[in-house]
Amino acid sequence: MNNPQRTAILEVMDTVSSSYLQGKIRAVKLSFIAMLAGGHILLEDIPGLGKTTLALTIAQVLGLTFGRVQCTSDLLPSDITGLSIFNRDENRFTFVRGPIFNNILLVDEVNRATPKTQSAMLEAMEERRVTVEGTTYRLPDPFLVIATQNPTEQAGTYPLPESQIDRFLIRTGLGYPPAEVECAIIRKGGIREEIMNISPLLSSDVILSTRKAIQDDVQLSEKVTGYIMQIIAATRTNPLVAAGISTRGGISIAQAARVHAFLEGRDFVAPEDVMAIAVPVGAHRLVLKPENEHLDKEEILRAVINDVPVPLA
Amino acid sequence: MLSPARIIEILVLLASIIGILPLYPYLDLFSRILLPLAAISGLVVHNKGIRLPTIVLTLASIAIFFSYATRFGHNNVAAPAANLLALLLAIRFMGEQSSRAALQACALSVFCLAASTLFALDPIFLFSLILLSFFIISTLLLLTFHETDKAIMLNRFELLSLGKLAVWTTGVSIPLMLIFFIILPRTQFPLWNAFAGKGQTTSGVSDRVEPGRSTTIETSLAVAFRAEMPAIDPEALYWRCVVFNRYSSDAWVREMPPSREIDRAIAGNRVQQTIFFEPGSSRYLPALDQPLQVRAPRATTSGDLVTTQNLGGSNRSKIEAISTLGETLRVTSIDREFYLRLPSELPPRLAAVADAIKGRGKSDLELVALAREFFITSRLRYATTNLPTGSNHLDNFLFTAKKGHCEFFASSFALIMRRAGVPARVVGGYYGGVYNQIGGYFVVSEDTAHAWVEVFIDGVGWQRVDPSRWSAGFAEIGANRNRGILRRLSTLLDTFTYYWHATVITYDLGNQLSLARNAGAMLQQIKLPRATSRTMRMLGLGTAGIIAFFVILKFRKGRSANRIALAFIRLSGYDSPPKGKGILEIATEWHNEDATRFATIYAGAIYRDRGISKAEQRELAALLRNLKALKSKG
Repeated sequence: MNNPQRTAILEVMDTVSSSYLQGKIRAVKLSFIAMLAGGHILLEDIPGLGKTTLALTIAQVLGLTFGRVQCTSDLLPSDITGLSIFNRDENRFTFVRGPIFNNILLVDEVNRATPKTQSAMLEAMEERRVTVEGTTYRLPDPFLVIATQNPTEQAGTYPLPESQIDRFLIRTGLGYPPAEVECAIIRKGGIREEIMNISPLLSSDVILSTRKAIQDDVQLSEKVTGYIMQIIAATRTNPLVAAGISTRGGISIAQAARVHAFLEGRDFVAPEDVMAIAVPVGAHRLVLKPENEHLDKEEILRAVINDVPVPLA
Repeated sequence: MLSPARIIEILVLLASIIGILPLYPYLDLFSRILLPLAAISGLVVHNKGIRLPTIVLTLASIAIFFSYATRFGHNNVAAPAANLLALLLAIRFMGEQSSRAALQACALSVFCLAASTLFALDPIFLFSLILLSFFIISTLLLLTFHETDKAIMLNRFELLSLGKLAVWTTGVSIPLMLIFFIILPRTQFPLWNAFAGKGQTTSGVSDRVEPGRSTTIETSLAVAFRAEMPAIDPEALYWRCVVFNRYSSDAWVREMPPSREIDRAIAGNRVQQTIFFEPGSSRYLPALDQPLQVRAPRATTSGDLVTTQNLGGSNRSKIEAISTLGETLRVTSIDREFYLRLPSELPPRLAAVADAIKGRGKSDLELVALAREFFITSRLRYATTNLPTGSNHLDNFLFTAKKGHCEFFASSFALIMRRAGVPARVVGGYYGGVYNQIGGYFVVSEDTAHAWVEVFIDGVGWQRVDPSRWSAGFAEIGANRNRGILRRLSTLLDTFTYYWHATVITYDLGNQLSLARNAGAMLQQIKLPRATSRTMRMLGLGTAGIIAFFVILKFRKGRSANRIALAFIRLSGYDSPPKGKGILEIATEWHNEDATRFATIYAGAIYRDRGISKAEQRELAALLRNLKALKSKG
């Protein structure tokens, strides 16, 4: 399948990962998948590996509006959604939109916000609208939340509960870049300044039409659906796992697999697409038994997937 | 990567070894030495790349052929032929190595294995046959590759699949072997025995009881016979073979018993035995004392219950016998004169003892008791070495050396009884046996051959008396040898040999005919339904249904698709679909456009939930062929 939109998106991805975000190809690709699938992404890694840079770059490159929330423990829901302020001149309340009314929202250190704020924001993410004082406001489309969190920091944080974390389509780490790339980055210094000067390469229209094309044109066969079903069923019966991947998780895997297949240039989903995205899409949805909590969820899911026979005919 | 030529070399060597091993014990010393030497020197010569001139080998073959050809005779056929085959194989070891040579060696090893059946019909033949089939099939498979392309190299994966094919072919041929086994004509004994007449003589039951013939008796552990029967008290295991009724010049021999006499076993506890008698020199068939009925092909039973087989010696025969366990044979009247005959001269001291007994005892039973007392008070020892020999060996046994084996005991006791006026005769047979729990049979070896006495008690009949029991040391022989791990292992092996004989060797023309008759009878009993239009319709429908089933099975798309995918996966070096890898990923491992194209077409069809079209199938097959060619090259 040779789609002009696909070529364009691949070019952008290539530019981003080669010129600005060296060594983060995987994270860039997953971010694009999240956006094209209409989901949100949670970047989870220690500070200083470029989580924010990644979010900024993507926002800049796509020519979309960008909002940012730095979470702290005294952050209120209204600080994200916006609030009504009394306008003396007009003698009535007017609604001042918060940072959530942007195409791309970077929620930095999401686990520092209080559970009340977290749930208000995550509800908005899921429903794509905000209701303030009886009035419902639609959020813009495309709408992508890039949340970051630091898994090692414990003091004064409110880790996202499993039910909330389930709302992110993809959770991924960034990892350290390869040594030679890291060397070059250290020599050149940060690229925040450069990023601000990137000219947009894709418009929101292209993204929306691509999303529609993926929904319409990429076929998900019964065999591959069965394969996804087998994987999520296997997570539910795994002895290490208390609660396996939910139905929403299955839907998310299917959506992400479609996008992956599209990016690979196919109009059908192959088991390889499922294998490629199942871990970042599925791992954070697993709830491990208390005695197994120290285990790596990604490793467990990878083992489960490897045990499910690939449909061959 | 391995060259087929190298593997063929090894396989041919293995096939030759397997073919020659069963024949090896029967070869001449010269051949036995030359064979391993030829094999080793052949390996050395080929490793160094030396080529022996063909003319030398040809001349050697001709010389060997003529040297053995002169030895052929009407009673010496098998041995020269076997040696000739073995030596031709030895020459083949040293000759050049080509496909032709490999085929020749294979054929020679088959001939050698076949020749081994002229000498023995052992179960090892079956193992050798199966192994040899496998090696030769593998050799032929590899030769086809080697002949097509001399430079071809095979990787581990390809060799493995060839090996599987060879195992399959061998496995399929085994049921065929069974079918041929059932229908082909056979012999029950090695043909060599038929040419050579009687084989070697073994110890055991002989035609005469002659205690003084040598200072030691040879004990052969060879199996005399196996008797399938329930386990009974080993004390009762007297296997009766032959009755010796005349004493002449130091030996008991057998004469035809008086024709009026007909002995009968007393009714009692019946024991049924199926006895598999090993080929030996004896033509007297064993059965437990006392035999009621002994049945075997071409066998006759005389009045004193001795069963003789006319074609004895070379045949491994099957005997059906029924016996009652007892010590007395009932008989109405006997020819007393016949059983009291004595030579004119007896050892004087023996005669004196007998006369003294006669003077003291009145009834037959008293006389037997007095003789028993004499034996016990003489403190005779049971021994098998340093035995008395010479003309007065019985005197020596009773009064000087005071040791001897069963023949001394039986012989002297019977003589004393006759002299004292009690009719007596010596019985030859076997005593004891080792019970094989697995097979449910007794194994009786040649070294348990035994002799005892039957005395006639008036009004009762023939009474079994075993004078050896009155000795010290007799208890050691008998059934107390069933110990040790080696013994148990040999018991296990013996069980296998037993079943081999019981089912394979004794399977003969008679069994074939009865099988054919039974099959015929069964066929006649099957009632075929009348050929009405209704049954014809049903039959037609049934046939159509079966054909349709197979057609659907063959053309079911999923199935054929699966097959082609599996072929691709195997070609990619996986024995089975690898875990966690799809066909597209496997294709990327090839770094090859054909592989990628294959995976794309295949995945494009099946992951769109549609079948593979005819055109696609053709293209996939073509791509698979390309990939196979690529794989075999590199």
